[in-house]
Amino acid sequence: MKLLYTILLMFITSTGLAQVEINGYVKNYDAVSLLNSNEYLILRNRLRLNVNYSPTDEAFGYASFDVKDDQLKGLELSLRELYIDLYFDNLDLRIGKQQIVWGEADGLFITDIVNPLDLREFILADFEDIRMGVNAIKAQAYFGDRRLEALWIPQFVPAKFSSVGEDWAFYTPLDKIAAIIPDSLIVVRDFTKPDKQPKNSEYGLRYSTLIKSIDFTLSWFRTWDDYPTFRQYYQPTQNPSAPFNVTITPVYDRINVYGGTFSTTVGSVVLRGEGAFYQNRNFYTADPRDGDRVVQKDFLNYMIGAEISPGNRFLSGQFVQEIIPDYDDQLVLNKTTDMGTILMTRTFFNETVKQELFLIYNFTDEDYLGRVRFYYYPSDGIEVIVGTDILGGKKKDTLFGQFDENDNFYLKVKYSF
Amino acid sequence: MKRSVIFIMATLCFMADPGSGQNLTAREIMERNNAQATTRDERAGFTMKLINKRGKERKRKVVMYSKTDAQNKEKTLVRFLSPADVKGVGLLSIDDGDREDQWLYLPALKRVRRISSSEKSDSFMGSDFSYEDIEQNELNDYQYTLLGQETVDGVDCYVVRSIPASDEIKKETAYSMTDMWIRKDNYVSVMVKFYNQKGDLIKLMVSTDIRRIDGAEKWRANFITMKNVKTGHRTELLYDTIQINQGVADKFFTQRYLERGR
Repeated sequence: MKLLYTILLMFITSTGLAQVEINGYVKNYDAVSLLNSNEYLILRNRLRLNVNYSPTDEAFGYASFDVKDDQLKGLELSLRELYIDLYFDNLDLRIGKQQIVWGEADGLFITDIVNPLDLREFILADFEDIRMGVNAIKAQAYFGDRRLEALWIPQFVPAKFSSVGEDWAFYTPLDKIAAIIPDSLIVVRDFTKPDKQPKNSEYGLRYSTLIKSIDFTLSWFRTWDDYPTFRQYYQPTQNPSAPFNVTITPVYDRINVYGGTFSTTVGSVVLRGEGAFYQNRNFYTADPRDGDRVVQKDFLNYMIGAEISPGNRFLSGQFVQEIIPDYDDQLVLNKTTDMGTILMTRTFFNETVKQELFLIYNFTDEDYLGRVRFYYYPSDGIEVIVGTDILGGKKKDTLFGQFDENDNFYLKVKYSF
Repeated sequence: MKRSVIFIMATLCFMADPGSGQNLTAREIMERNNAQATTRDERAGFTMKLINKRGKERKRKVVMYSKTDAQNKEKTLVRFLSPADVKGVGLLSIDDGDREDQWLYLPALKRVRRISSSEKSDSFMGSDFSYEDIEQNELNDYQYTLLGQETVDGVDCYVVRSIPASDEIKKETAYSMTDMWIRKDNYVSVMVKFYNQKGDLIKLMVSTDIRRIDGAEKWRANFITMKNVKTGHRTELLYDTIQINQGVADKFFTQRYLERGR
């Protein structure tokens, strides 16, 4: 990939800077805990700089830099994207660090799994900030209304999580083990990632078509699961009060994901759907006979949704289900997990004010995420958002229930230039 | 109902007419007003100002492409060029007469999203124009009455009232009737009054700076104001580029192009 950057820099410097355009934004984001009004969850200023370079109609260069001045976590600089586009008659190439978006669902990632996610603030950050760019070569060939997309991602990049003890740290099996086994008997090894070798690269294909006003896609992605499983090796001790010591190794696993999506309109209703089938994904088992407490099972995740937008209103609903077809009772995860989402927005005063409600409810785990936001656009380029995020559930180890104490109220002010 | 999502000035087109001295019926006047509205293709760049009653402005630069292809599909691409927070947003519409498919591209999400066709009465991009204001209506959908003749800015005009011709149209439209001032010499509309279902005047559209388009037997208004008389809010369209029948390429009306965001 260093070669790609060298090519990009040579490309820009050799063709001049006349066609360079810079845009971006400055954003302030402050969030206060609703549980403890003296606690800030987020205090941040952010600068996003995007450089667009269009030397000809057949080529385009793009770079996106991010400066995050987080007063609670420090300064963070990142190069979010850096790529070259080359356009041919029936072929587009994108080469470099990029975000690749698949899927139809709102607020969920079902087939949209090409880019790893930055989950250090769970899924509450803006979507453009949640997805992390990956170095890739993407080729898209066009045949009328049909498109064939091929991806090659030379190096695996895992999702990012908050560290243990931070506000948005995820619950892991380690938490469960630490509750019953003394720390002195737990050994946690480094994350096991695939070596940086061509054989470990990720690749995928996606075919898109439009048939009788229905958009269809079919996809296959040979990837590494962005989320590690913690292999747990128990060894007996002679101590009756602590009968085991445990070695834990977080491992990223190779998987194949087959996906499909559709979208169409029936009257004034938009219908969407997507599904992903994971072949041999790893899941935790409580079976003490299992050597590492992890077993492989196929996994299906799908969504069906509908939306309408009468006047200045928008209403969308989605039903989501996760299924482990070959289930056994020792699995820690449910055989099926059912979720629903609702998104409602309404604009006022010639779209200078917008109110939004987004709700995800997990019927199986009985946990939820509710987001209420008010947007105000006082003038061009300025966006003010006041909102609140409410998370909770019956249990502390569920997706949303684990962040029960992170309900927050926030203010975001953004100036785009 | 809709034959095409042609630009607002399409309803204002005219051609110098040798028969302007004739006694025409309202229907004949509207036929002439509509006669050249349909073009093979158009490209227009304009600035849209949204101005509230206190005079505060918001400004959007937009480029629109439209085309009727060989299969008689009406295709339109709308792309925002500014301000920065909406730059690159694009809307692609393809209407084959039976149904209209629309896709929206949002650069921040890097995703093309299918959306439902807008209702005729929905606001066009947050402006005081609704979709029915900018679409070319089927002549047969309305009944026309010649109210009289008046002079507007020193130019003789016919005054034609349009009312929905069927219950179906009545349900779709936000207006009980419109009164249109159409120049006698060239059949361009220079003023339109829109009345709500109660019969109250709700919007007023005025079109000025009408010019002939190079290379086409068409004329277009280069400055159009639509005012909501109830709220005091108004929208101004100032055109900087209008090209007609210059051959807009098919590539503009594809998801591939929509995704490029520029």
